[in-house]
Amino acid sequence: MSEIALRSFCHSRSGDKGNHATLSLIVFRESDFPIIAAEVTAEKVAEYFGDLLEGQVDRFELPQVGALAFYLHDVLRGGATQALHRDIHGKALSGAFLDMKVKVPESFVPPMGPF
Amino acid sequence: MTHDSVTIGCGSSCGSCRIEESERLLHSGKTKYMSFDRLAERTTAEMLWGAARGNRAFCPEMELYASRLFHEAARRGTRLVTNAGGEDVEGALAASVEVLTAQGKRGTRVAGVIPQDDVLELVRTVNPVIEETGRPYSELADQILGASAYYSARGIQTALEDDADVVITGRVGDSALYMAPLAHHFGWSWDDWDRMAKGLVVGHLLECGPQLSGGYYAAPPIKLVPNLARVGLPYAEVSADGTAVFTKLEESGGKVTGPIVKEQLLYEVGNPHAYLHTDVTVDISKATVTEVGQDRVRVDGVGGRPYPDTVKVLMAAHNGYVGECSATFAGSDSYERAQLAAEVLRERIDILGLDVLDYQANFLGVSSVFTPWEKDPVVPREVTVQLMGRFGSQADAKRFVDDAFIGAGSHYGPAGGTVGRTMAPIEPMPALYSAYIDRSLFKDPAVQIVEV
Repeated sequence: MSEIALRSFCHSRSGDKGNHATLSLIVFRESDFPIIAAEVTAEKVAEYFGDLLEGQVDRFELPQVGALAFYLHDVLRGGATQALHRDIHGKALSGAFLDMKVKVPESFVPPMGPF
Repeated sequence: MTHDSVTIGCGSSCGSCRIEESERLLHSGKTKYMSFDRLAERTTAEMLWGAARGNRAFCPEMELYASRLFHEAARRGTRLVTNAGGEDVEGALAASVEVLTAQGKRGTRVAGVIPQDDVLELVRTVNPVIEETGRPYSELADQILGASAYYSARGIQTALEDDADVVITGRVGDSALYMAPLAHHFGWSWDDWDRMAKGLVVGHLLECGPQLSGGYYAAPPIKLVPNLARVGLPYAEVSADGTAVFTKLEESGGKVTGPIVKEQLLYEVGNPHAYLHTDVTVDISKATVTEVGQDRVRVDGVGGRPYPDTVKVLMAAHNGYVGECSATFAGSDSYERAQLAAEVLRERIDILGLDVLDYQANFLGVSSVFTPWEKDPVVPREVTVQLMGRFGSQADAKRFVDDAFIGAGSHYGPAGGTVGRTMAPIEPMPALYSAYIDRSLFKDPAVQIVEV
C-alpha cells in the first residue's frame, strides 16, 4: 500500500450551519468510491481536525454520486457571527481536508484531469 | 392549463452579487422566473441590530434592483422573487414603488409579503431553549435585540396568483424563493411532498448562483474553469414532475458539469436524508446527477416528506464590538516575532484595563484556518498576524486598535513588523442565536400589491 493525499483523486466543498460545518468528499472517478468509503471514516476525520473540532462528526454515504458528506459539530469557534478567526463560514476547511492522506494499493493511478 | 416545463434562474446569491450578470440573464429572455436571495443569517443579525436602532432594515440593493430590473422584467414577462425585504418588507415595497414612480415607467405590479407576527414577543411568550447555549431564552433575554422567523413561502404563491410581476418577501427558506414560483406555475399541491422537495432542491442548487456555473470550483491544475472572470448566473429547465436540467448562458464564462453540481448539491446540507425546511423535509440521499450535454446537468431522485412541526427562529444579541489590526513580518523567524506581537498585545489589553470579551491572534500563512497545523514545523518566509479583540464598548475596541497599530509592528512591537496602510473599521458584532417554535403560533403573512 502507498499513501496519497485526497486531493489527487477527490474534490470537496465546505460551508457552515451556525457553529457546525458541512464538508463533502467526492471522487472524480466513480470506481474510486470504495477507497474513500473504506478509508475516510468519521473517526479519521475527527482525528484529522484535532483540537479544532469540539463536537462529533456525522458521516453519510451517497454512492450514487460518489460522495461522502460530513457534518462537523462545533468546529467553527463560534461561527459567522461570533468567531474571531478568518474562516467564519468554514469555507476554507475543504482545502485543508484534501491534504489528508489515505492508503491506496501500490498499483493505484490517480485519474487524469483536468475536471 | 398544464405546462410541460418552465425556466427559472438565479438573479443574485448575495448582497455583492454582480448586477450586470442579473441583467444579462434577464435580457437573454431565457428565464420565466428569477429569484434573488439576499439574506445570509449574518445579514439578518445585522438587520435586526439596525432595526433595533431605528435604522433601515431592508437590503441596501433594493433601489438598485428596482431601477435596473423591475420594469424590464415586467415588460418581458419574467417574474422576480426576492427576500430583499429583510426585516422591513413594507419599507422595501415603498422604496421600490418610489423608484419605479420616479422613473415614470408604468405597468409594474410589485407585491410585498408582509409578516403579521411580533416574532420577539412570540419568543418571549414561548421561552424556547436556545440551540447554541442549550439554555432557555429567558437567561439571554436582556441581550436579545430582535427576532426573525423562517416563514413558509406560500405567501409568494399568493402574490403570484394576484399577478405580481415582482414579489418582495422577508426571510423564508432561501431555496423556497425558487420552490414557490414552481409550485405556482405547475399548480403543485403544497402537500405533494416529492414535488415540493424537488422544487426546493432546484432552489438549493440555484440559490448560490455562480457556485453552480463555475464559481468557487477552480483549483488548477486539476480543476479548471474557462473564463472565470466572466462567470454568470445559472438557470434551470424544470419539468412538471420536478426533475430539472441545470445550465448557463452560452455567452457567460464558467461551466456547468457533474462534479460542480455534486459539490453544490451537498453544500451546507447537514443531513442528506432530512434537510429540514419550513415547507418540506427534503431527502437528497438518493439524488442522481447526470451530464446530458455541454453545460447541461440533470438532477433527479430527490424525495420529500412532511415539514417539521416547528419553525426556525433567529435572534440577534448584543455581543460587543470587534477591533482588528494586522502586522506582517518577513524572514525565516517571522512566526516567532508574530507570536511575540500577539503575546504583547494580549498583555497591553490588561495594562490598559480594557473590557475584553474575546481575543484571538490568527497567524495567516501558518494556521489561521486549520489550527492543527500549528504543530507542523513549517518555516514560512512571511507571516501576517491578525489580532482580533471583542470588547464591551466601542471606545475600548478603538483603544485596542490604536494601541495595536503602534504595538504590533512599528514603534513599540517586535522588530520589522509592518501594519500596512489602513486600520480596519470597528464593527458592532451582533451574535445570532436560533430556536424552534411551534408553527401553529405563526400567522400567515399578508400580501400587499402596488401597481405603478
